[in-house]
Amino acid sequence: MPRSDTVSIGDWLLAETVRLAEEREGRRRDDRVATSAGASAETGLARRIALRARALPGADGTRADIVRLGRLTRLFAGGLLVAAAAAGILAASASVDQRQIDFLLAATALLLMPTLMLAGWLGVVITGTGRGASGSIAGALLATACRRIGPRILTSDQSADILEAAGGFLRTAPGRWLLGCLAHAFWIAYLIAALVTLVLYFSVVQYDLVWGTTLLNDATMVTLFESLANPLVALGVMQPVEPEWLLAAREGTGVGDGRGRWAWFLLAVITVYGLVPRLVALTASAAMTAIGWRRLTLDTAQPGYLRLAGSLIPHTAPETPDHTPTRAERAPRRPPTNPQGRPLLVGIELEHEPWPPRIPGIDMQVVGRADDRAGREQILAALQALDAPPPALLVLCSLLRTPDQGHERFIDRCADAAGTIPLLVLTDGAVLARRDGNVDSRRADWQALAARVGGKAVEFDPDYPDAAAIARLQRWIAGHDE
Amino acid sequence: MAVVGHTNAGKTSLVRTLLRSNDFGEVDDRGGTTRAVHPAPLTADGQTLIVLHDSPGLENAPELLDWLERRRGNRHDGPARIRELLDDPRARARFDQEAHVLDLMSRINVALYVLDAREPVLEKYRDELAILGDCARPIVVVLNFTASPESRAEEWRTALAGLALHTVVDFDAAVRDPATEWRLYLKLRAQLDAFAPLLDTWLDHRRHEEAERRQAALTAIAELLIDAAACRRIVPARESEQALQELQNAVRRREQGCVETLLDLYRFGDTEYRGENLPLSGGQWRDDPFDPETLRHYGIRTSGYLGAGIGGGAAFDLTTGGLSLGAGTVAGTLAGAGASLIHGLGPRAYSRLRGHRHLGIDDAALQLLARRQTDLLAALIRRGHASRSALAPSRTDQTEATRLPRALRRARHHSTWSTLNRERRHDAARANAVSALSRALGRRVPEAESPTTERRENP
Repeated sequence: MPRSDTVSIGDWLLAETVRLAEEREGRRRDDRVATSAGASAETGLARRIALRARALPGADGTRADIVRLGRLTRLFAGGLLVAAAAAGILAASASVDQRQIDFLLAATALLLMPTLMLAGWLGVVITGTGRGASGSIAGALLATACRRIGPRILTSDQSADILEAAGGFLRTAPGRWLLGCLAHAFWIAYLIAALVTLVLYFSVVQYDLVWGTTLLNDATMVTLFESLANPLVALGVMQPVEPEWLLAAREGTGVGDGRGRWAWFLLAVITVYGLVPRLVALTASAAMTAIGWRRLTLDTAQPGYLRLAGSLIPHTAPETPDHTPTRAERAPRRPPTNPQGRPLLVGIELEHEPWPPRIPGIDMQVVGRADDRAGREQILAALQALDAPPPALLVLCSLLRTPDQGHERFIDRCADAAGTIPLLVLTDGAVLARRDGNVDSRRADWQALAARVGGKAVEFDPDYPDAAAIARLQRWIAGHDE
Repeated sequence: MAVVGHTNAGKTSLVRTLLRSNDFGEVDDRGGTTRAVHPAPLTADGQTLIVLHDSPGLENAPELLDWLERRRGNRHDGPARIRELLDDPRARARFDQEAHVLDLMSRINVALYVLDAREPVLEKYRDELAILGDCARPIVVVLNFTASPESRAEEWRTALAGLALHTVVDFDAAVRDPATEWRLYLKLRAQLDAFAPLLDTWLDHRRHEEAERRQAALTAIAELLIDAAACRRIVPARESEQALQELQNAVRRREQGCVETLLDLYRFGDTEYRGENLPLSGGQWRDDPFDPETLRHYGIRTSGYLGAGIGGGAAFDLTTGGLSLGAGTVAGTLAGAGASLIHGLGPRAYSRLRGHRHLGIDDAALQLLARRQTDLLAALIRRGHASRSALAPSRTDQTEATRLPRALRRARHHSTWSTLNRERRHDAARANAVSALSRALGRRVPEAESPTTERRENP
């Protein structure tokens, strides 16, 4: 994960809130400014998405709610720790409610639940299953608390989505480790409270710690105690235990003088077998949470995020000036005052066959086709050799061609050479329509080109002669403006 | 990489398709819409691997070639002649657009010359290629609009061979055929040995991106279907008609949200694209999903309660028609969701006693939603960013299976799975259902073709 693509928890929740809303309601229509803000950042997609979310209208209210939710979570965590401490005190008190305490029963009463829960947590961590936030009781309680209390303290319109996003966070890796921290902290508070309670009781009240058995023999029990004590001895938290000392605490054999040593044994068992594993687990979870927190990023493969990738591509500026070349329209050419001969016909890059086409009612003199350099030079030479200007220069152009500067300059030069008005006859409109081309806009482009060279343009299909188009051409050739 | 060619040949369309973006530049039937050299970076994981440079069209190559040919001094040194042109202020002013393109040619590693394959082989195009050849850069000719019946691709190939240009690739920008896109990159790879590793990286990224995009689209469709299947309204009987309308509207909006997600994922999502004559008619399906006629159009059998139901639409009263879910659903319910059934029927029966009704979306409407979203996805996978025609809904005589996928049958019993309900909760079970459903939907949608190792080695 590149560091440039990590996001803070606040941004993560905000982006998720926006995603959930947009997946349900469709993309925000008022996101143009926010999207531009996201696209302007030279960073990874996740950060650009987060920037967009922060710049969306109404994001401030959502962020304020996220801060409130953070406070609620901390409050909940504090409450949970207090509850855990209370539970520890109660459990410890219950286990020492008589002056004679069964060592194994007391240890089991205080360690069974934390140990079972730890085993369950380890099972979830090792197998990787149960990605749900309810991997621990704390997670389930937190989720329920958020659902119940959240709507009362969150004020923005997105409160439901914020809670949903928070639930989603608890299903991510750092979220799960965070819940793990909470669960471990819960049991640590429980065990510390229980230990302190026991120490207090053991300090001011005299107890006899004993053990007994109905089914097993004493030797087995001694072995069991030795196996419990050996790691504690190895750690240096208690002295080695002798079988005689152990047997002296056998229920019904009379109480020896090792009360303090047995009390210390119980406290050491709870500390080493209950508290220490939880502290180790808390340290590991906290480390993993911190790592996950630092690497926190958005899952950009989610459809709600991936859809933004196109809009959040950084914009690039043109490398050259982006301007339309000035192509001023020239003053309309006038038909020559004393034209001689027939109108001339020139064809440019035509596909229409046969050549030359017939235009009923107009007798034309064919000059040639300008499909290549030789044709163009031949036509220009012929026009320059004219003794007198003709009434008009008909230029047959195909609407299949996009008018370009080459066409414009050639027609302009031809009109100059002939000294007459160029009349553009536009064909192939039907073929362009069959190609799904936009005939109107193409015709408009050619008409604009005709205006730029001081001429006029009319669409005409030789296969289906249109009387109106012919009449317009005849009027133009005769020197009438329209 | 420079993208060059005659005006209106489809250069910007090609860039859009390669970029997977329809908001790059401006595309119009009128020529000359691109008036500046515009860079378009192709990035992978935040790193720019390739920069495409869209360029203004060449419009006056014949006169430019005449000008260059008059420069006798550098007869056999093309780049020197081009430099001479670029250094001459008068020539630059006269051939303004061409000068921008030639300037660009000196800064790139390879040029893509885009040709409209429907055009006849005119001399002006040969002139353009001759001028570009003077720039001494490898040129790959891209024949655009080859899918048109009027394409003259073969004629062009012969003509290009006459100009010693043999690196030609068909690439119809209106039809995004991933196979041709791979071919284009493989041709480039063959031309640019030094950049082969980079192009391989890009191809790998593209393949990953295609797969990721398709998966995200399938997930989006699965989320829609789960939302629709789990959607519920419990209302007093007298308000059922109004509630049905509200329910249908919520599903319509949700479907529209999914359509927009798919369009955005395939980068067809900007506002302009949702114009009048564009796909889906303004970015929306024309046909209402709750219209029985729409269901028939898609070959989806409608159940008996349709029309006789409370609103005449494709929604039903779960309480009275609880077992009108269709035999498949009932079987699935009994087989796989006994607990949910008991859990679900209890409140239903209680609500019924209170005179309330449970409203939901019926199987036929769910099938319709699934069918047209997967159709849309399949069309988008192959759609070029230059395409401007409307997407037509597919018509079929084949009847859809009546049995819903298991994930949807499960969703029927988990109203909290639907984001359309007030009480909603995304849990791991919902995520698993979405995942399973997207896999099932994936079998209906073809995968985009990607290059095999063999093809990569033998471009």
